[in-house]
Amino acid sequence: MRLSSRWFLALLLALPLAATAASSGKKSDAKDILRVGDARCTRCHNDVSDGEIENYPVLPIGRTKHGTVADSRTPTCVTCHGESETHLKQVGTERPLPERPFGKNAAGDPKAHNKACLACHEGDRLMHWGGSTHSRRDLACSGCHQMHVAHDPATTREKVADMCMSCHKEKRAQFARPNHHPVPEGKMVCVDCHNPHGSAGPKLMVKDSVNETCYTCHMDYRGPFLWSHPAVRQDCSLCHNPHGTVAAGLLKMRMPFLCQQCHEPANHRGNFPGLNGATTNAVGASGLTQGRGCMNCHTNLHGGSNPANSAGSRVDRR
Amino acid sequence: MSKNKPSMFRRSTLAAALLGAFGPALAQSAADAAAAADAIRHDLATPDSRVEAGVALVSGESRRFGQFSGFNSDGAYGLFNLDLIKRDDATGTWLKLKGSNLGNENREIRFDHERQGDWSYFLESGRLTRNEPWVVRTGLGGIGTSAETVSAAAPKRDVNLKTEHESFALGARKFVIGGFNVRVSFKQDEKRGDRMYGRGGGVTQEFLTEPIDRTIRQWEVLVGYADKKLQLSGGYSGSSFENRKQLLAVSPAGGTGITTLALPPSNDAHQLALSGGYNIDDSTRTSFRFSHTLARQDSLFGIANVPGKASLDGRLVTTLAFADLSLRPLDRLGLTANIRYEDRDDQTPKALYLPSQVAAPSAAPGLASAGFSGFNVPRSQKQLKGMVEAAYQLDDGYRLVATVEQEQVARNVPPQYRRVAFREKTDETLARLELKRSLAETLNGAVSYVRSVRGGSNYVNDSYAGTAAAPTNLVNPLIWADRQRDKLRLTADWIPEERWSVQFIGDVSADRYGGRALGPRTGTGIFASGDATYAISEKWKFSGWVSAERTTANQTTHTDYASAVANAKGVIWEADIRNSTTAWGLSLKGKPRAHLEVGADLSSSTDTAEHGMARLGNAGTAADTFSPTALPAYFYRQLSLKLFADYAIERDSGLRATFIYDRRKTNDWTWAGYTYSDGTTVSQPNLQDTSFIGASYYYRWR
Repeated sequence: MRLSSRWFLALLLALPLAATAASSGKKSDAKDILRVGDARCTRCHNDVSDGEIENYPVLPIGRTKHGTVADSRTPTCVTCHGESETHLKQVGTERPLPERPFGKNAAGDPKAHNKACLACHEGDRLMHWGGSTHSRRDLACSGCHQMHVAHDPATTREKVADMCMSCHKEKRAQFARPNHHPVPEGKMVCVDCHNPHGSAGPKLMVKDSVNETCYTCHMDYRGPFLWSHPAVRQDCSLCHNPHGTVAAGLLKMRMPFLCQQCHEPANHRGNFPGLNGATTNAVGASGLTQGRGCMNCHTNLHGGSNPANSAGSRVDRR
Repeated sequence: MSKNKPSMFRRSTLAAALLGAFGPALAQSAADAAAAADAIRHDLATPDSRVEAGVALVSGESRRFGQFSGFNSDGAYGLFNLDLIKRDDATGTWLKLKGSNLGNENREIRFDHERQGDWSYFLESGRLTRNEPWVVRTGLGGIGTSAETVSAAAPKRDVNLKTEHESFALGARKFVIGGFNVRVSFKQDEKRGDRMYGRGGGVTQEFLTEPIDRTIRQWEVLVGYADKKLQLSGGYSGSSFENRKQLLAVSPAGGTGITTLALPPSNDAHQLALSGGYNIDDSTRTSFRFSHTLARQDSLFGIANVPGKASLDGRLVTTLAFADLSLRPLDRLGLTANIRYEDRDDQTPKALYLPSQVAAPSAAPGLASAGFSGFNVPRSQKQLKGMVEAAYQLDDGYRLVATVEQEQVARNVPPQYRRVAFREKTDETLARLELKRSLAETLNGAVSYVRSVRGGSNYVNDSYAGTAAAPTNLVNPLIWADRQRDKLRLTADWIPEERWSVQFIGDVSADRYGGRALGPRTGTGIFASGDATYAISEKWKFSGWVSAERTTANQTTHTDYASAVANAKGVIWEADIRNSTTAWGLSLKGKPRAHLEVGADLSSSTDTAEHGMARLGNAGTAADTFSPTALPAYFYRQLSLKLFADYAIERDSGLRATFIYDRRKTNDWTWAGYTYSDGTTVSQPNLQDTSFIGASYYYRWR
């Protein structure tokens, strides 16, 4: 009943407004909305018609840093979208796109589109954009960023992971595994470890190396240790998949299989893994396989600091 | 043009409609409608604030569900979120206060104050608890302290372990004259709690907990400069790790004989860095980074040692130099090149810490101390990596990209190397070819092929065994083994019509290892994923995705000649590890009424792991014929249903309801049937059903 009333009232409104609009033809009298001169665009792109908001409003840019007019550096419509004369002066039945339309239409020449953004944003976190993987793969800034919304998903912690995983789909499945960094829970986000705009490190790491990035939170493994483990020193991602694993500890593979990929078969290290109570695969094999695996004994395998004159020191058992 | 009709504007619409219908004059009505539209536009362009408060009820077994979320036990929880944003338009000054999960132990809050383009500062604070999903039943005494007591006879009780982070950060930035800016920041993270630990040796494995009482601090002072041509950023970054519990005393000595375990030592690092970029012309840019880092570890040992040292005096000096160049020499040709050099120079002094472990390199295999020098072994490494890539725009929308990468790593070789075959140098060359085509305005696709080949210097024989033919010198360690890697990838984006969009990505990869008889042999991976979205109507939208991944790894090793294990001496065997993941999700979101939004998300993920094992033969002169038995396969499944509804009561307020059903099931045998030597057991419910229902009220204002 309420719905019907509203439609009826809206109809009552629409009729006189339509008549008014048809008779006045006032587009040329359009007022600026956000900043001086924007009527050139907002006379059409004014988001509201018939009292309703269009599906993709542009005015929410006013809520963002780009819409902060007191900052003289902020752009006008033309700064980003170009003069777009053919778009303004439509000839024929179809209106040409603006000079730089962004959105999915930016895919045609992403480097040219990105130039519009880089004109202001070059340097700082975008210092290495030019040679970065995303730039080389022709990703347009607007492939991730939305400029005309109050909360750009690429800079909103609650949304950024979903946005990254819309392309990095293998990571979406990995984060659903039982062992993962708390990204699905919203306690970490991709950009805590990666700089999508490029870096001097591998895999767009925010720091200069994988290890240095991991140490940001896991500084207890930085050392230098008295007894260091070469694989640990070389690259944390040799053993760990930080996005998610079935094995505990974000290990790519269960112990002892993981350790047997490098360690020689002397002594117990080549033994068959087995489960407790099983009659096969040797007595004591569960100690290699279950619980914390090899770490049941080699408990400090990220690096040991015990200087005691004992074999257990150098093999990270104490 | 299509419209949505959020209820927040219902009043404006109605008011305008009433005026339009009953106003005294048509012109007046039009003016009022225009004013209403202007008011809406003003609201659209004005930052708004929001506060949300409510309550949530959690029931069921939620150890996994609540591992990081804070909702880890039955009961009621407060829901309170805050997002205050105010901007003074005249000065461009922002004031922001954002709080998330304020009714929960995992809360976060941040305050920002900024005059855009001039100055800014922020303060933030947060808490994060990681609840151990496993329940420990143990008689261990002294949990949480630096002195623990192991006793098989002590009565067992359930222990729920957790670690808690409490952090705060602050920072400021000031733009100064001439394109310069200065930025400072400081962050501190306190971590407390306990996590699983242990001590062991031989057939003795005893449960311990690692007491966590640590502080991480990070600080930074950076100066930046930017103009149209040149950008620079450089300064000093420091960090420290302070561990207030660096030793764990355990009594009694028991079967392992270990009474003191060294926990992670306090350490610090200091970095000077300069990054820059320069636009040579409109289509040519170069950037660089240079950093020099000193990491130190000089914590007091607190344990008597033969060299009589109070501390390690560990020093790792890392120097990084990186430069890249991107240019477009022809309209159709883009080139990118970069080079990266990293030198990790471990300057930690060497000393004879383990004289009891010194034996001649020629000592017989099986002698525990054979081949070990007794000195600590600093690890230094130099890495040089370069890349060149060319992208050429062909006719008919085709684009060809060719990439070549080369990496060389050189490591210091200890005078005596023990246990793992060692390689002084490795080098890897990668070539990549990609063909992209925009097949139509609505269809884009790419196919790429990558091959990388890794090799290196001759292996340094294991000094434990003495001879190259000894079993210990037959392994190809994964981290520096000869390897050929091939990968084929296909991607496609398709928008068949305005309402549909489909994405597909698939890749196949294969690793082949060689060079020595044992160790990793092959690895394979297949991944495929598809996404689709469909706009059923202006008010309803459906999306779905599915991903599948299969990986395998095949590796060999052999049991020890001297093994005490009956029937298993010198058997060469292979492990065939297979993991698979299948995950999918469905989502439906809609707006059945002007003031009501609803949605449903259903997702599922299944992971399985198989560990096949088989005997391949015998090594050396051993004649045993024992064949290992494969470990049982296990799975982990997660099913999650999330329903939500958002009902707008008025223009700026509403009610939000959320229901989540979360089911996790596994037959993981990690701890099943496993009992520590001290009688400790660890378990989790293999089926965990959790229900979450939350209701909240929100209010927005400008």
